[in-house]
Amino acid sequence: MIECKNITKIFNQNRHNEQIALKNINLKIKKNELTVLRGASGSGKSTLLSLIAALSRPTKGEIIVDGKRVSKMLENSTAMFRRENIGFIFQKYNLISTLNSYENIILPTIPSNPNEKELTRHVDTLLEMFSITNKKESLVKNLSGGEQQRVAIARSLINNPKIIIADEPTANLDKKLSLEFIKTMQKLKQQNRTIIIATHDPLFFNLNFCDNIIEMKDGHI
Amino acid sequence: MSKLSYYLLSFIFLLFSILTIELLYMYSTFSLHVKEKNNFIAIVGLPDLAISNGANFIRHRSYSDTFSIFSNGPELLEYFPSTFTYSYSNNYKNTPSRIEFEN
Amino acid sequence: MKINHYLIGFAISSLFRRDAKSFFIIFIFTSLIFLLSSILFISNSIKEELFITLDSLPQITVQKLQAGRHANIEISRVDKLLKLNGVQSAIPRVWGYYYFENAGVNFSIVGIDSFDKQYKKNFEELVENIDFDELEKNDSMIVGEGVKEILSQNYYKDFFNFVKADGELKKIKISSVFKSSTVLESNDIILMPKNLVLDIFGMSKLKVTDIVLEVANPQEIPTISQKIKNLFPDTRVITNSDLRVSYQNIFDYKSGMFLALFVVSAFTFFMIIYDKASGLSSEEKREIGVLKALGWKIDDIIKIKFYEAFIVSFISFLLGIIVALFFVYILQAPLLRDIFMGYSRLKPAFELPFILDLQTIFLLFFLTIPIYIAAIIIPSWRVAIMNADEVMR
Repeated sequence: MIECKNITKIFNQNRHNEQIALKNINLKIKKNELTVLRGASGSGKSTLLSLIAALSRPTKGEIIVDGKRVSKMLENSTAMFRRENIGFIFQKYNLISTLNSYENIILPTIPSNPNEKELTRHVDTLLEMFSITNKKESLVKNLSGGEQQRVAIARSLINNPKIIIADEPTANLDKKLSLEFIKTMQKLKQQNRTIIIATHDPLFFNLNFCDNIIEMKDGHI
Repeated sequence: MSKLSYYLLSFIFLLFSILTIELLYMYSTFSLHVKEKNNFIAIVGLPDLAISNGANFIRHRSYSDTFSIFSNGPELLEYFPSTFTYSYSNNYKNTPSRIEFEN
Repeated sequence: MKINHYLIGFAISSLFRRDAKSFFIIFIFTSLIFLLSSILFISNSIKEELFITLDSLPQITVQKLQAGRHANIEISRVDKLLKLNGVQSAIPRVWGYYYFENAGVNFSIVGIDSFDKQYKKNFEELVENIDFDELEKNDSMIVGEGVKEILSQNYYKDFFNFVKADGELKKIKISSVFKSSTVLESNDIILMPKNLVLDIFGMSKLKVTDIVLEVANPQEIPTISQKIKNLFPDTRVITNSDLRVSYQNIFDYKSGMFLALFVVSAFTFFMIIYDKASGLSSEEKREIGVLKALGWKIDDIIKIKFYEAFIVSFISFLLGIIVALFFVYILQAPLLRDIFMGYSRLKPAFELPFILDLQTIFLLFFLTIPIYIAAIIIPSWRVAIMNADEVMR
């Protein structure tokens, strides 16, 4: 499903503040696996995730996701690729705080001009699934941390992506909410999705439904 | 369609209607009095509008000013921006200027 | 292509989300459009006023020049001019400026031969309660509204004492006033029999101010004026098209000035806009980054920005034009019209005629809206082409 070959990522190449984020990474993740990327902050987890999600390009190497060479795609194709295949849950959720939950959830679908009825039905299912139906019209900035995260997860699922990528999802949550998040991930795995979670939260390290744990340090696996 | 889009569209529509009403009102009430004005000019036979006739500014310049009017250069002093802000030499003009008169 | 109303809806909601900024820009933009279009509307109206009467002006005017200055022309030349082929009529005119010291105003005194029958009908339309016999018999005059007003301010209600060239006073009765519909043309005009004008100005009876010719075929005007030049080398021949040129010159000159002002103000405006827009707030940058990460293409983001910019500029444009039309034609442009009449002591209380000049409106439209949209889109595009992860960090 996801294959990384000899990936190197260097920021600010050939400048005085050059910084090597990833060095020669090789990685294979099969379909319907849940992978935990483990490591201290600054170890390159986020960079690796953004490369897989085609948010940026590797300096060297190749990334193949679902048979597509993501690292060689043109700008607009990467956007289409993300829209269709990837659900991203960001560390700070990256919700647009002045929009309400509903508007935030439909954001990824807007460019493809969705059918209004289907979309509403889909959003309602998601809202129910994460029990935030009563917050549908509330502005995101007025929601609690846990609610915000559920909106973010709902948003990542709106396009029915095959791959879900979560970057430090529990960094801003207490233990109870983190456990809830883990349950949600388990549910998603049962729906045949491939999941990658980058975290340094110990709660993730002993999960029975976790397929691989990859330890990262200073850009190495 | 969302509520906001609806409000905005109605607002734009409102603007268009105001514009139309305004234009219709003006078309219906304003008259150029073309005939009367032409009759008048036919009798008097002088050009220009009566909007500049204070002291050293005369009407019918094309009849009165021998050279300047047909070769209008920016150094001419009888036009708005220069004379409006700056009154040139007192010796040069022998009629009391508007500004002087008010002193 | 199907219109994506979600995209438009998103653009609209982003405008409302940044309401303070949007309203500020709409306010500034509206003010700019309002100011520029008001000035252009006023100058168009005045220009139109000038041009509608152009065809009634004399086809050829012959003046005498002496030592490079305008001098009175001998009345005997009328017959010689009439002998030229193609000249239908030659009418000697007497007119001049009368400086009224008390008010610092120049009146234009125009002499007419007699209140002819052929004029009678014209006069009835222009002047209220006209009594021709009275005009013929007594020393009386018809004045413009402005003259009447200035004179009554100086306690001349029914008559005026002109100071003749030799210093004597000449008392002339004010018999009536021109109708206000012609006020822009008639405001400072004093119309009286020719002999009175000659008397007041102390002119020789054998000379006149200039001679006006009527030509059978307007196409011959250049030829005839050349012939006059040859016949009387000391004359200046002013044709109707010269007058058109002089009108055009004044307005080109004024328009040039306003164009200069326009360029400056428009430039300032776009500096402000560009400054505001190119310094996209970190919030807006993050938003673009998030949208990209969620799978929006660059053109989706640019579309949003385009809709936003178009809505803002279009609303401002409409508002500006509406307010300007109201201000200029219904309120009659208080303050601003004084710029055009800055040095008139005899301010005519005229009504700016309504002319909808589509050319001006289109000019304003295409000068402002595309530039504004570009000023908004370009910085957003610059942010949008960055890698999404760079925007988010």
